[in-house]
Amino acid sequence: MNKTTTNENGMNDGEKYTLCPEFMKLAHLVMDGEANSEEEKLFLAHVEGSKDCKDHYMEEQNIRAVLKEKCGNVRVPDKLVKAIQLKLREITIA
Amino acid sequence: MADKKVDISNRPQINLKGGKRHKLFIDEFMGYLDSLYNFAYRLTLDEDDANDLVQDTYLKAYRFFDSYEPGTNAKAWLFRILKNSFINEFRKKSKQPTKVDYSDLENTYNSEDADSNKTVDLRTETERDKIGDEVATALNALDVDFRTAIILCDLEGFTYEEMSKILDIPIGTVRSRLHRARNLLKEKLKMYAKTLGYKS
Repeated sequence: MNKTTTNENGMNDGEKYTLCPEFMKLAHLVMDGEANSEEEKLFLAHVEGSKDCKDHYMEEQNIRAVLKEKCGNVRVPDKLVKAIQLKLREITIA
Repeated sequence: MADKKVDISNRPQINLKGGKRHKLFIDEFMGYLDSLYNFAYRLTLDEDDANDLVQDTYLKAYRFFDSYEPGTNAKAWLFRILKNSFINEFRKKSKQPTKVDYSDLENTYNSEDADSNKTVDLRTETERDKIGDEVATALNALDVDFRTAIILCDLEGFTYEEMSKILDIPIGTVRSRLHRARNLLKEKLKMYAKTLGYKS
């Protein structure tokens, strides 16, 4: 199988990962929930058989998990909620 | 996609008035306030602008509520309104992304205390916290179009098709923009890639 050597950015630099074309093609589709069940099965089977691809897959998932945890849990300020509710009531009454 | 005319003549219309209209609006849309605020904040990088943008979005949504089909994708509809408001009214005045001096970070990671061969278990809370701050900073430093793609997909979980509608771009462009955005994000994180578990 032809392999592509990439760095952590998925770019070729000849020193870090050896990612297979199957991985490159399907990785983001699977992680974004856009792959069909057959593609997902194929991808997961491939990842189990390729250490570099599996490592890269885990790292991609880690970054996404940290991103979601750190940037996805923002609460809207109570003041803003009240201001919006008040404006909507005013418009409704008028 | 953007030029496609949609026939809405057969769609159910919201012909409610007063209190009933108000209640239906609250039921359909108020549950997305946290997500909308987060999106607005990540776009503007300013709390006051985010407040204004979210309020403006809800008022516009209420004004055009008659064109919304109840039970369809309310969240995507709101995000689209917010994105358009940001482009039309807020983008010019919003602050520039935070500039990060990565040489400082590099120095920290290259200091004698830092073990360059060490990898860190991301499961420990402290490490996740530390790295999380760097990830958030790197996200904020991205160009707004790339930042938006990552927020919509990775934080809000929109599908490519939903993103295509929110952003008014073809699905192929959504995919390529996401791909580029992720590469740029990782590029910004590369000096502490080892800490994230990358092997040398």
